[in-house]
Amino acid sequence: MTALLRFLDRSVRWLGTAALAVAAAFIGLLAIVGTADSFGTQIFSLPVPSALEMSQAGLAVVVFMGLAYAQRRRGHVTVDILFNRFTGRIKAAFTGLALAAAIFFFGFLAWRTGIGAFESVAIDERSWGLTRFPIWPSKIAVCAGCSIAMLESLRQFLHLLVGNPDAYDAHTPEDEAL
Amino acid sequence: MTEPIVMGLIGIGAMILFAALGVPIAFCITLVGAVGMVLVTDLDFVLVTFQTLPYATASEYAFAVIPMFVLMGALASSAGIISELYVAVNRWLEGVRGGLYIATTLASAGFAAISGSTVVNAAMFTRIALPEMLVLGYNRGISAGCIAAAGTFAALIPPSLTFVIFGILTGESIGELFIAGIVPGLLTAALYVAAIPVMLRFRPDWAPRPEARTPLREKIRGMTGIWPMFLLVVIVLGGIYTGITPPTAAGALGAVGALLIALGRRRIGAAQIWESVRQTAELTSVLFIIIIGGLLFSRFLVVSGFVADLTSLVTESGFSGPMFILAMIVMYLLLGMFIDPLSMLVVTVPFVFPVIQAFGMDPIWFGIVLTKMIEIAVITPPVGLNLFAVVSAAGGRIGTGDMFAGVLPFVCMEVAMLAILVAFPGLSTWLPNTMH
Repeated sequence: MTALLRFLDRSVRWLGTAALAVAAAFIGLLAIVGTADSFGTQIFSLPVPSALEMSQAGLAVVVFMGLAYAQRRRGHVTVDILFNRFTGRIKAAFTGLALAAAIFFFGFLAWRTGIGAFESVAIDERSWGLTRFPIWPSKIAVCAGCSIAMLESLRQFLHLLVGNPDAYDAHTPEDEAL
Repeated sequence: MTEPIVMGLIGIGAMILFAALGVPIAFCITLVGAVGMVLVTDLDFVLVTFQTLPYATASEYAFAVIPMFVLMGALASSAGIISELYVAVNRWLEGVRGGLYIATTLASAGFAAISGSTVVNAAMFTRIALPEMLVLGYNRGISAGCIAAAGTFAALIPPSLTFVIFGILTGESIGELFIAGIVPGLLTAALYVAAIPVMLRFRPDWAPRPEARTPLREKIRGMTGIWPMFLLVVIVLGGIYTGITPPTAAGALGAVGALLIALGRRRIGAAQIWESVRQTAELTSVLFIIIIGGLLFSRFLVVSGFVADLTSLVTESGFSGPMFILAMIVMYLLLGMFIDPLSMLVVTVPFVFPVIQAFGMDPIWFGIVLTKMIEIAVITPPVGLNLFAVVSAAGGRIGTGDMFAGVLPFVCMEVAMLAILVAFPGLSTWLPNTMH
């Protein structure tokens, strides 16, 4: 179990950080494309080709690729007025419930968005417009983001099971390094 | 009570129960919504919804406004532009009793025009303003209360994340909501500026005797550093108002502009840029997953017949529009004491908004009133997000007792402003009606 957890710690955290880097890159892309398109359209009457489609696909990548990192930092919004009053095993049990819900939530999303991505690749889905911008890569990214977030939740759940609740706390050495 | 209403209430009850047990709100609303949809329709409907709705929501161009404005605020904060703004305003007000309260109010309103998050606003001014307030002998609780309350300006003064989320959930124009928030936001800041001296007339011990120290030349020089950011805000909001740039493109311009200003003034390095982008990615994911959950939950309420039956029940039971608004105010103020504003928004808007539409009320005005109620909720004990943001950022210098007592005068000001906005809808609807 310890070896499995160590493997998961290394691999899932690496995946989460890599996904965050992809999300960060796409945030930059959204800003640059939006600015270039505004200037191009208003000043030179020359919009950036497929700017709209690029922004749409980019936003989906940002949203889902940042999920695992948010889960790692326990960043998802929680109403903790009652939860904070629990201690010991009761708190651990409800933490387990929250993590089980996370695994099911991300797993279910990964499954459904995975089917969507598979169908999108099969038909080489592209946007309608002057430039037929490919949509399927962003659909694959959405499924990948959900899958990594599910693995991160599973990693935290396994740590909880072996009595190591600190492993899913907000700051990790990797976070500090970032 | 009809079967759909019972079904909807069970769903809302289950959602609240799981949330209270510590399950993140996004997971609660999604899973309860999914189970509810299976019960009232069939499994295929749920499978198709989960296959299409998350991607459709996360790839909507208009919603890219969220990461862009979050990035703009994060970059401006990392570059230290906000502390510069605070110092500049403070220099002009140091000869006034309670000058630091007013400087915090005005600088917070200025930062609200760059940032859309009330919590970020409150935490930032706790670090910038609170130490000086305490050193100069300002009342501990009132100082903290002022910072927490002024932090809420970010919800009304555009770019406001609350407006974006309201716009996504209701389909109302995010640009119009942004423009509609300007007058109420500025009026709230003006009310604070007018009420603080009145408050200090009754309790002069809450602020030390004023002492003017900075020469006029220094005061003017202090303003030179902040004008590029204000110019950027004017360009961004002006673009939205005139319709030259949609909110998303305006947000992109704002983010790139903030970066260029920070780089040009050598106030930002690679580490701060990365930190800003990292914060943006995390917050975007967290917000969108709740929004997607809210839309799924909303779909359950619609397909179960809950929304239609509730609307009929309210409109046919002799409730008038103003009575309904009054009931909503009471409901949101009570809910706000225990639930965070984002959760409150995604859970309640799906069934409250159709009733508002059935009464023929202006949806933009309702968005402003709802946002004002949310502003009050985040500074109302015991669960006021901004109160905890201040206590946490104060690092032990402020206790929750001081905080709860100190925020009360500002809660009164906010309630007075809410009454004004309800009584005079034109304050919210006039500016957006002049757009384009």
